[in-house]
Amino acid sequence: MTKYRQAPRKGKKGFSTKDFNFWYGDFHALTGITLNIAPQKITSFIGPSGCGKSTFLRCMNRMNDLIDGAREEGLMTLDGNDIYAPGVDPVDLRRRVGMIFQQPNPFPKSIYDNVAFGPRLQGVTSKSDLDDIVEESLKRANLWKEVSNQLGKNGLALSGGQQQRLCIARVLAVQPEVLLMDEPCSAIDPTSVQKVEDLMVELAPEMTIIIVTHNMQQAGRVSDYMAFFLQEKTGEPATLIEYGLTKEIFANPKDQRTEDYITGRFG
Amino acid sequence: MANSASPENLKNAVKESQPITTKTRLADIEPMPAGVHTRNLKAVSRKTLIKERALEWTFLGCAMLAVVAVLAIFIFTFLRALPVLTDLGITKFFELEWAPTDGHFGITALLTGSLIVTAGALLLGVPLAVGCAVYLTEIARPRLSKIVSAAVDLLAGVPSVIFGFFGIVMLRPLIAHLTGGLGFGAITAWLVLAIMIVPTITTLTMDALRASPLGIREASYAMGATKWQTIYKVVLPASKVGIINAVVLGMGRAIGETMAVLMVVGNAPVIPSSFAAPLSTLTSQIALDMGYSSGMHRSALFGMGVVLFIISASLVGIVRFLSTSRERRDEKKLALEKKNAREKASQVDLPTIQPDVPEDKLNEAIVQQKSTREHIKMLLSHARKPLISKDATNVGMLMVFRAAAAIASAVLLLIIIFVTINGAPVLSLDFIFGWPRGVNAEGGIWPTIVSSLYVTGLAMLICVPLAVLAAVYLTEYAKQGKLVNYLRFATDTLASVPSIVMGLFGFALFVEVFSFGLSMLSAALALALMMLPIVMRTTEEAIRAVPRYIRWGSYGLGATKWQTVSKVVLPSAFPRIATGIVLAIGRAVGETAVVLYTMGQAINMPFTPLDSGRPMTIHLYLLANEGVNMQAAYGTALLLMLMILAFNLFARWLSQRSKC
Repeated sequence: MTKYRQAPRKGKKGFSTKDFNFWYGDFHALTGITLNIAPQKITSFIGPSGCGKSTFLRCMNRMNDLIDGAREEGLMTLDGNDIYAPGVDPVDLRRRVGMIFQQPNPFPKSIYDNVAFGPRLQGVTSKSDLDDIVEESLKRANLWKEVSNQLGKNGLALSGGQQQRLCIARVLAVQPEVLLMDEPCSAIDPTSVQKVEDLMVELAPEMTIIIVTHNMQQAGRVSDYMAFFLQEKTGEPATLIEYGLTKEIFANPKDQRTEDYITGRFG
Repeated sequence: MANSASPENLKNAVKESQPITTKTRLADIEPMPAGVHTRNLKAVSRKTLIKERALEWTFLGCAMLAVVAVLAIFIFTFLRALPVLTDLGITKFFELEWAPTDGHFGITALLTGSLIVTAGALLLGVPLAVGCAVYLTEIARPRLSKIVSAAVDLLAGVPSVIFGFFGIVMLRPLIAHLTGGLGFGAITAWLVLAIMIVPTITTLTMDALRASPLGIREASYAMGATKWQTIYKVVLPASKVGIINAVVLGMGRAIGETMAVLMVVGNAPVIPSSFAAPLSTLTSQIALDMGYSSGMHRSALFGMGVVLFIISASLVGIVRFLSTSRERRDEKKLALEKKNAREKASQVDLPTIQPDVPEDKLNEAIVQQKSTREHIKMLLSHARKPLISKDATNVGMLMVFRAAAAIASAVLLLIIIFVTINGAPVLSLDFIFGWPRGVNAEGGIWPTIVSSLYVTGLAMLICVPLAVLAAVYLTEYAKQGKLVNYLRFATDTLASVPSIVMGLFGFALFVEVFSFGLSMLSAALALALMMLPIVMRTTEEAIRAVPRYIRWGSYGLGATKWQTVSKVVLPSAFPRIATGIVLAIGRAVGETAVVLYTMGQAINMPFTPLDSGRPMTIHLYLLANEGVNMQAAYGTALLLMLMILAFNLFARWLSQRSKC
């Protein structure tokens, strides 16, 4: 019997983990995480700083492989496939599971080259194909109107919010099935936050979105499901405390610690 | 989709909707369905794996080159010096007398000479350089500071043969006039070397000062400290290790310096009777004797090379020890503090609301606080008044720093003006593009310009690809650990090998063993080794300056490591890498001691890499030493300086442009 609710879903679609543990060298960062992520919905990960929510997110496209001494245990599956099985190509996984970072990180290249980067990696060389992909992706990221006449401009010359939407367009250009967003709005201005949130809601029907956020209001506004992480004591691993429908967690959290957090008593 | 913001609204919204019962659903969504597989995941393709591995090993190979080079330099120089141990005996090698024609090969007088020259240069140069650096970072207005530090940067690139030239024609007569001798001796060498190491130590000290957090200055000012108090009690202690590093590196440069010293010490291998009397150093004696030595004499010269190598390697060891032990200490302390803070934080209970404090208790507390304040005030009023008011000290000390900066810039400016005024009338198209004529090398210097550029170009062709790939390995591929530590130690050591020792090694390996002879190729190989650590270091810094977010962006899109490095990291770092390469070219053009016995000294127009030639630096050295054609010497010095200035300015322009 799990102590938290699992997202309903058809078949084996989407992310699932069972007893997932994670270490940075000697430091046991995450323990016993078991959950199903709802496909084609928005799920938010919340919790105080250092509670492992970003770490868990980075496990989902194996970004943590890039860190020396990172090690995981337990199962993590995407559509029923064990993504940590030996021989699985993390590079291809990352193409399918895109990621948006806290700091907008456009490459110091033109807007066009930024969006075309991923498709070019896949071997798309035809200019007209690339043009289509770039235009389509920028349109989906609601950036096309603002940049259509200056595609040659350096991506770094855009405003913070535009940069973040450029990064989203860049990810959309490789057609990911899942979009991981690690505090995507914490480094951009409030008016741009609205645009990024609207964008997430628009994208949700076609792809699974998982967002890490510190902002409870944001989690409430955009997410359908919510997972609360907590590291109870220093030096001990963090774990999943509660998971369920966002509305329901806000209305009556099952766990006292969740209630303390969402009513602002700590964190 | 919930669009309302606050938890209250959400609560209401939930109340209105149907309560969610999940019991029935839970059954069929139990996590981790049976039969986990990897059918829909792509396996790592063998081709990609092999390609990535092969690349990694290639880069590792390039990085290992530094280790191989350091070992080779030591082993080769040592093997050539072996007769000193076997036939001469180590005690005889450390005897006082150096008289090769009489069979005396004692290096103690030379070693003493090296130490005297280095110590005096440091005593003069370090206060000047540190004062100058403090003035530029802490006191000067930003605009002035920017201009002067740019000038100091440029001067750090002026080749040592020009400093020696300045010493021989300007300082030597002056010292001769003051002390009554010939003017060759320790005093002249001190001045020349001090002027030479000031730019190096100043730049490094400025880096150290800038690295200390800005907040500590503000905190100090906020407690009523004057500028001098802040500099003396807060800024300098905070950057102590960095400054010591700068001084040790300056020391390495002084002890390994060859050309500038060779030209002004007078070259008498004895312990001098006074600081105005001629003496000789390890480096200058090697440069002087190498051309005609043979047998045990030559072995002894290589033995001196080994001694120099060991000294410079120990200095690197000291610097590494200082900086790493501090880092380790800091890390440990920080970790402990963090742990304590966390433990404390976890013990704190969630705040509970206190009942209202009764009024009389509150008043009591206020009274008590007031009395504590009075007490501290009284203690402060007992403080002893200093003899000189702190404002006067402040003004005085700031003047001292200003003076240090003024002297340093004035001297450096003097050298430039001196070379320019004397050299400008000589410069003409005929001088630049003409051939030298007659025994006194009248006419032009075209073959020496071509030789200089030829050897530099060839050296860069060899060095740049290796250095860049090695830097890629160290920054992107290497896991932190023992291997990386060895690699770093090796590159640092390679960077500190005195250029005359590199020249000896180049002679032993490339000229003799590989029998390339005195040629462009031999000289270029030795120069390439000299430049390898410099280009590597700047490339590493350039790559590290690329934010990791940018790398994540690339990996997040499904790029492989090599795709990320080649398509994102290297292009982003390119402007800074190019800047480093151009600076290295400037240094290579000005290098003298390395090419002295690897390239030859006869004027020749090089065509194939196996041709010999005479570069501008050696031309200048020979002209200045012979003293028969000073016109051409001034002209060559000015042209050399202008070329190096051009490279440095070009490098600055590159780095400025990349910032926009």
